[in-house]
This record gives sequence, C-alpha cells and structure tokens, in this order.
Amino acid sequence: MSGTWDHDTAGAFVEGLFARHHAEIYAYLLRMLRDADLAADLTQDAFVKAYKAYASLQKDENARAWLYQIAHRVALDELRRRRIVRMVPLVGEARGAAPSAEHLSMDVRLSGPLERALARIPPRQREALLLAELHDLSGIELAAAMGISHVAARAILTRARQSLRAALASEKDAERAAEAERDALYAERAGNDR
Amino acid sequence: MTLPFRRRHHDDEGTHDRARALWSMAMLESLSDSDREWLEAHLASCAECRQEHDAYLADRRLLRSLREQPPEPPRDLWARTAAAIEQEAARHRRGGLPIADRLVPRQRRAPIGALAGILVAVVVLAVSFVPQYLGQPAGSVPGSLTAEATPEPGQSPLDVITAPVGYVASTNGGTTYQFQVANVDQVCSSDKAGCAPLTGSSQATIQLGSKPLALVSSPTKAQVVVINGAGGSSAGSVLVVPLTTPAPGGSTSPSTPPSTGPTTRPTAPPTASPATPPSSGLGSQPPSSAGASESPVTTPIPTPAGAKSIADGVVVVGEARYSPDGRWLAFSAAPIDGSTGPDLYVWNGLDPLARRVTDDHATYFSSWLGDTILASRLPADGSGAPESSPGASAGVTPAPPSVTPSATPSPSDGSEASPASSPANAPIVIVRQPVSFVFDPATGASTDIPTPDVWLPTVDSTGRFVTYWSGTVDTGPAIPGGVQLGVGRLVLDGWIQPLAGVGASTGPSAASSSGASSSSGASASATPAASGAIGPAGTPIDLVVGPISAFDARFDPQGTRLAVWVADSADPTVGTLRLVVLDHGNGRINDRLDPLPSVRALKGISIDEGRLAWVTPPGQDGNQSTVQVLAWSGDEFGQVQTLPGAQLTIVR
Repeated sequence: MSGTWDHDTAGAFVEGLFARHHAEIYAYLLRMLRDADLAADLTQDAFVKAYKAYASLQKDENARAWLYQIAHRVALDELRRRRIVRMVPLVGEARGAAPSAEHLSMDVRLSGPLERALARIPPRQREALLLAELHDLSGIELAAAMGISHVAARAILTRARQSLRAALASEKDAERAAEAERDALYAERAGNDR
Repeated sequence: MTLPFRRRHHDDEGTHDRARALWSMAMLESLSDSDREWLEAHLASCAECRQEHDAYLADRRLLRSLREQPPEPPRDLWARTAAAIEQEAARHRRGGLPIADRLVPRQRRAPIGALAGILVAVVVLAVSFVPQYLGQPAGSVPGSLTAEATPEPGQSPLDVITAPVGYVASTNGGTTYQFQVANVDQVCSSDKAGCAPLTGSSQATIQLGSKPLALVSSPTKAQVVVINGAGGSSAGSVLVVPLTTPAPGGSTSPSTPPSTGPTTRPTAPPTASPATPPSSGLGSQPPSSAGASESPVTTPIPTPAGAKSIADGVVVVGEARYSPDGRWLAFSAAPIDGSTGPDLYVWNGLDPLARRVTDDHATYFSSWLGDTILASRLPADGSGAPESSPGASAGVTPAPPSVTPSATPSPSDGSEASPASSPANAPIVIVRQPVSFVFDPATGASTDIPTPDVWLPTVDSTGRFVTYWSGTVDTGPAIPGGVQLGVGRLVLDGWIQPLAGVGASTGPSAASSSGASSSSGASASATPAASGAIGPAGTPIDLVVGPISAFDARFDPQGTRLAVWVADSADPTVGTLRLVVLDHGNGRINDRLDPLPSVRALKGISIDEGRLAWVTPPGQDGNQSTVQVLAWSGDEFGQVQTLPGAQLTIVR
C-alpha cells in the first residue's frame, strides 16, 4: 500500500470491504454495546475511519483483522467518551445502578442466561470470546484486533472461558434458586387452599 | 511455545492449569504435536479434567449458537456510510492535504488571524433575542444581525429554525461590553465539514466596572440583568440595564453615553459591607465569587447607562431567571459579608428593589413553574424546619423537620463529624435532606413538595417532566462554598400537579387524583402520586449518578429537550454537557436520539427554542474557547461555532 492517499482507490476498497464484512462488524458492535442504533452509527464510523486510514493497511489479506481493530477502537472510544461523567445510558426505563463505562451498554435488556453471563465477565474477556467464537478470528487476528500480543490474546481467551464457565454456573444456580422459590410458593398456596 | 498458565507449587494444580490452557488454545488454533499428545494423555488419566473439558466444549457450543440468529444491520447502512465517505472524499479533494493534516479539528484551522490586534474578552450572552431582533431586518443597522453560518462550498448544511444567539464582547479591557447577536439558521452535522465560523454583530454596548458574574436577558429582550460578584466597583449588586441599539449609521457605541460616576443604588435588606464573599450555592451554580477577581478595575468606573440597582450588598447564589411572562425576576442571594445563607428574592419590574420573601437564610431559587417559583431550602441545623417566610403564610403548613438525626462525615472528607450544634463543636459536614416548595410571588402562598430529598427541581413547560437532584445536600465549614451535593443522583421524573394546586396555570400535567395542595405531615415515603400533592411522580430515571459537585439542568421552551451540565469535581467551572431528547408520546427519554452525548463545556449553558449554546473550555486541542451552538430541526441536529476567543464565559 503506497503512502499516497488515493481516495478513489480507498473508496473502492472500503466499498468492497463493507460488502464483505459490514454485517459481522455490526453484529460485533451490537454484541459489545447492546444498542442497535449505536452499533449502526459506530459501524458507519468504523468504515469511514477505515477509508481515512486506508494508507495504514499493509496487506489486503489482513484487512479483516484490521477492520476489527478499527471497530474495537471505535467501541472503546465510545465507552471512554461516555465515561467523562457517569451519565446513565438513555434506556428510558427504570432506575438502574451506577454503571461502569464497560457496562454502559451491557446492562440492559439481557435476554437469557448466556447473555447475562457474558455481561458479567470482564469486557476484554468478553471481547476476546466474541471475536474468537462468533467471529472466527484466529489467534493472530485476535491479537491484532485487540492490540495485544499473541500470547496475551491466548491468555485472555483462556481466562475468558473460565470466567464464562463460572458466570454460567452462577446463572444456573440463580435460576435453580428462583425455581425452588417459586415451587415453595406454589406449595404454600396449595396448602392454604386446602 | 510459551503457554499462558501459572506454575503452582502443587504440581497437580500446575498440570491441570496447563491442560486448561491447552484445550482453550486448541479451540482457537492447532496445537503442536507435543502439546496435543500431552493433553490427550492428561485427559485420558484425569476424569475430572475430561468432565471439565466437556463442559468447556458445551459452553463453546452454546456461545456459537448465537450465530444462528445474526442481527440484521439497517438497510440504509451503506447509504449512510457511503455518504459519509463521500463527504470525506470531498473534503480531501478540496483540501488536498495529507491525512494527518486533514484530521486536525476544525477549531485549529479557524482563521485566528482575523482576531489579531483585537483584545477580545468575550462574555457570551446566549439568550434568546428572538422577538426584538427578528423583527429588525438584517442590515437595517450597519453591521448588525447577520447570521454568519454560511456553509463552505460543497457542504450540505442543515437548515434549522432561526435560533438567535446573543453574546457580549469586551473590547475595552473589560469595562465595555458589546452585545453581539447572530441568528443561527444553518448548522453542519458533526461528521461533516464545518460551517463557517458563527459571527454576530454589535447590537448594544453597556459599561461595566468589572466582569459580571452573569447576565440574564428579559423575555422581551428590552433589558438585561447584570449580576455582579463580590468584587469590582459594582460588587454585590444586581443591576437592570436597558438595552440600547446603535443608531443607524453608527458604529458600536452606545446610544446613550454611559455615566462615569457610581450609580445611586438603593440598598436591599442585607446591608453591604466589604467582607469576604459569602458561601455560595450549588446545583446550578457553584461559588459565585469567581467574577470578583477578574478584570482589574480602573477608576473612574463607568456604570451601565440607565442601570438600576434592584439589590445591593448581596451576592446572587445560583440562577436568576425571569418568569416566562417577564413580569417577575427571581433569584437567591446572600449578604456579601457572608453572615448568613441565601434567601429568595423577587422583583416585579415596577418596585425599586427586589423583595426578599424568605428569611430562613437557606433558600435557593431553582426555576419558574409557570408564574410560580420552584425553590429548595435546607432545614436549619438540628432545629427542624426553617422559619416560615414572611410572605408564605397563606394556607401553608411548614414542612416537618428533615435534618438527619445525626450528622455524618462526608465520604470524601474523611474526618470525624459530630452533630453537636455549638460553634465549638460544629460538625465538619452535616448531611441535610432538602425540601423543595412552590412559591407564588403574587400571593405569597407556598406549598411544600412532599417528596423528600428533592433539590433544585425544574419542570418542563408542559408540566410533564421534572429534573432534580434526588439526594442529600452536605453543608459545613469543611466544604468549599459551604454547601455541596451529597449522596444521590440527578434524575428525570414525571411531574404531578393537582389542578387546584399552586401554579395550576402552568399547563397540562400528569394525572393527579385530588386537588389537595397541602403537604402537611407528609412521610418520607410519601410521593405526589400517592398523596395527590404536587411534586415528582416517583418514577425517576437516572441521568447522572453521584457523586457530583454541581449541575445545571434546563429544558427547552417546548419541553422536548433537556440540557444536562455536570461540573467536574476538581473544577466546578468546567463540566460535561449532554442533551437529552424527550418523547412526550410515551413520557420517556428518546434513547434513539443522542445528539450530544457528552461534550466539555464551561459552566453556564443556554437552551432556547431550537438551540443549545455553550462555551468550550480553553485548552482543548491547544485552542482558546469557542461558543458552540447545537441547533435542531425536528430530529436533525447540527453545530456551528464562533472563532476562538479568550475568557469566553456564557451567560444565562
């Protein structure tokens, strides 16, 4: 890639990149941020940044990991920007707990035990899991996308799997406890009816 | 190969850790032959490990099941992205600059040289000048009223409802301030190339002896209230200054020459004495003595032509605001010597002086609710409710005592505090539960809001939403300024207002079951929704979670936008600003629109019809401050800014 910025070449390249990868970039940002509109906006931002940073892409075959790296930074920038003051995400719903920046977009509308468990693990571990398991990034690509070494990426992924294991177990325990509570309540009511 | 596992003293644990690391790695990429063989051997000999390995594989399958329902991107995503890229390309073609240069924020590219040779100490008066100034054709006065938000060629600006922004620029060492007004009718979206800098033209000149604490425009735009701090020639005064416009063909000189001697000022109840500034307010304004030390004063000090002092010997605490109909001005002020806390003042435009309507020395003006006032008070130390105000006796039952039984030290203070009331044993920090109330300046009637811990409430013009600090307020000698926000959060809530309640003329409100307006005996758990009294509905949505030092939250005139400014804890003159879009259809925040999620802004914001104005802190990107205006048309938003200037301060 030459250092000269050719907007026509860059535009055509990014258009092709968008056609191949926009859906997965959008999905990744949505899973990270859990906000559809925000994910769409940041997907757009990511491709615009890719267009502007076209000259920094060394090899076309690295474009996907390079794109994920841009998306990763866009997402982190968004979270850090919101951390200037602890303004609560605009969910328009009930009062919530004080959010950490990383939880800004992960603490709403959790739909199931898996997503709740994902939301409970540290964000970098969550990111590693999403990229590796849902987006099929290799170890090298994962490291590039996260801006860390290959060894560090593997280590984070190992810890992420352990964290997910524990979080899922905790979720299951909570579900069992809730079921037991419901059963006890029904039993009590049934006894009263008699 | 280096493996990401920890060696432990216990060999077995280390072995299991290695196994976990290897099978995790195997899920990511191929293992070396030696690692694979070792892992297989280990799993064959360790039943527990096999079970755990199977569990990990199950987790992986579960995780991958999320692939089965991939989210669908918006259909117009490429159109939006392509447009944004084309915008970048156009900018590139026009500028032809290297990438790094093109990424420089546009403030840095502004023609700062245009300001060379001009001493600009700008005080921005971002108030609405709509009626007066829109009625005056642009160009009728030379150099006046030209909206300069003209976009650069090739840009696609957003046309917005004309949103006048006025500001005052000092051109004479801080003694002469020229009003500038610019009508913002085009803005550029943040991801587009910038509009040309916003400029205004001189409309009037006033003479001030020192930099004012704040300037507030009357709704008719015929006069401006100049609030002076504790220093300077007009220290401790609140002046009402008529706005004059330059004569046709004239320049920026005032139509009436300013007087050069001190204005004869009637004295408000608290007598003036040259002493240390009093403690100041919180919430909408941190300590108010900031203006005192700036703009060195020369003698003789001119005073504004036609200025009329409506209060003297006081320092305004918090906001000063005209009522929507312009009949009243309300503010809180404390004696300049700091001998007591603030009381509520009202001025009806006809009386020579503002009238003090409370004497508990602990009342803070918040906002107008139609033709009534929303204010908050801090109960006196350990003595329950403060004394009733002289004008607030009409059918009013004072609120029950609400000082917390035991003072607690501020978490940030770290020192021991005791609730003793004697000066010798005065607690360092006292946690107080504020009481808010509605006050009718015409009748003197007031009604307490039964909901506890409501501080500085502001209700939107439709009476549907209210924003307030839901929490405690700390006072004490250990706190700079004497008061600060305690434990709590800034919230948005529904507003309940009985039809027969105080200020019932303010428009539609949330449903209420009765017309009772008394809050006597309200329990801590009482809410207006339950009691039928006036106040928040009790369904708050968090906007900002504490601890914060100060805030300013203001609705636009339509009640569909809420600007929230939160001060930095380290420097309360600087903070973070956000614009929240409200949906009156469902009574919630419109979380699909977040046009201004978080920007840095100096204290003092102005929100009016169709626009929000603020001043950027100096130093961002190495630049001086600029006045920023976010304007909107429907659900479309864009921004425009002035050229950078020194000492920019926005005025409410």
